[in-house]
Amino acid sequence: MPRSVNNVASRARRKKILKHAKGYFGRRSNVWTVAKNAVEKGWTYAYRDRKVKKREFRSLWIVRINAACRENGISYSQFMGKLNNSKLEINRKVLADIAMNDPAAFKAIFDSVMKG
Amino acid sequence: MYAIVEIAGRQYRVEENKYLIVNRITANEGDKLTFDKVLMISDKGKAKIGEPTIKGAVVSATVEKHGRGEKVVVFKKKRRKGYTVRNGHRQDLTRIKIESIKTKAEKAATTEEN
Repeated sequence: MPRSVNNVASRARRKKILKHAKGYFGRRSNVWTVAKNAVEKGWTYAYRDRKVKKREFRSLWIVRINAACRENGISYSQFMGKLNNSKLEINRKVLADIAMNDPAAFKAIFDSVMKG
Repeated sequence: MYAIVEIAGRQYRVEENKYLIVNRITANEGDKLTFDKVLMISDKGKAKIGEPTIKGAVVSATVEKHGRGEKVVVFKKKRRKGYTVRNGHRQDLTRIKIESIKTKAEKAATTEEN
């Protein structure tokens, strides 16, 4: 009796993963055993880094707000303390954007936080 | 001229006649929406700051299109434990067009939708 192998299905299964390994360095893109690990590792990092991204952006905004605050002669932490005590609810993402693109408006926010 | 407005729990900087992609809003395509949680309006270098919101200020928008984001592969694996999870995810999104930013709302025309 002839031996039956499931060639079509296993080829398709491997191809599905190898498609994601396009552009990888050396054997990582062509050799099944290596490529599979590389792709899985990549997805694992992607999953983790979607969360890390949120932290990194928050700290970038903080850096930007800090720079804008110091131009107005006060530190980030002092400013945030005042902001939390004030009624304003503008968040860090938006504040950083304003601080970078519209310094005049940032000054206005700064002043209203300081007097409050 | 731009406004800082809170839409579905997130703050966005919006400008008139610009498009904005936000998380899925429950409304039909073509519907008009109004957002009254306006935190700030800046017009020609003059900023109006709300405490926390500007009273009477309204940002109105129309729902352009419902769509979904790029596919994201959710992959988790624990070594030597036979544990693998692989899911795909596409976030539901809505593209809205900002029609107008008004400091004072016209009472009759606006409806509460958000």
